[in-house]
Amino acid sequence: MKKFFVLSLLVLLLSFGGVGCRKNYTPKHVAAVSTNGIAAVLNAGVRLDASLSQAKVLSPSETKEYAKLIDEAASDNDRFIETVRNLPAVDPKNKQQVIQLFETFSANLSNNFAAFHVKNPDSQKKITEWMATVQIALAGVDAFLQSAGVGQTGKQLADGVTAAAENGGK
Amino acid sequence: MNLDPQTIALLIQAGLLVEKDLVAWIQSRQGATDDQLFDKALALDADTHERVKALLATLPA
Repeated sequence: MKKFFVLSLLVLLLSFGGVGCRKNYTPKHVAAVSTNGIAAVLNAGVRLDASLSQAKVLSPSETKEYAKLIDEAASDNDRFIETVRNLPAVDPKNKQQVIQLFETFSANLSNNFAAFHVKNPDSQKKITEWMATVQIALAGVDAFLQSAGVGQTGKQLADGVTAAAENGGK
Repeated sequence: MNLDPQTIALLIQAGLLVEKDLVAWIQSRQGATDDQLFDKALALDADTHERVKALLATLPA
């Protein structure tokens, strides 16, 4: 299953242009695709929160704090989506502004979840695993935005996914 | 964000929790227009907000 998951991510990256295989996708399009990934992961997070709460392995205060963090992150994602959506295109003139906006959102989200800890070790493990998927989604958006011509992040992500695919099959 | 390949590899290997969601998401987003994609993302976030609201309603005040 690990291999399948990693291969799915590879399909994602290759399909949506993060590593430059499909040049017909614009930066705006890949940003649109990627913000869906963040939304999907946040949606999975609130379902995890509900599940752990129902199993009584999260206290009411922990459940509440986790839910509020997810709610705030979804609102931030909404704002990022609205900003990018209203641009005619992500082009050299506005790309840095979009990247900066996203990286502020990304840093806030990462810092907020990194500071969140719960008492139950199994719950903490599940939340930590979920947070790793948040990081993957964030890295995806960042790489897609950067791949419009700025830096090496897209290449690093591609190299990382390739390494994971090789390791995941073992 | 500065992620080296090893960190990304570890993140991917740890990220099994929402595997089904990510695969379904990949399949459902292929071929969509920008507007459709933004609408889907906003709809997902709206669902997240609703789920948070419902969850908080189950908790003691």
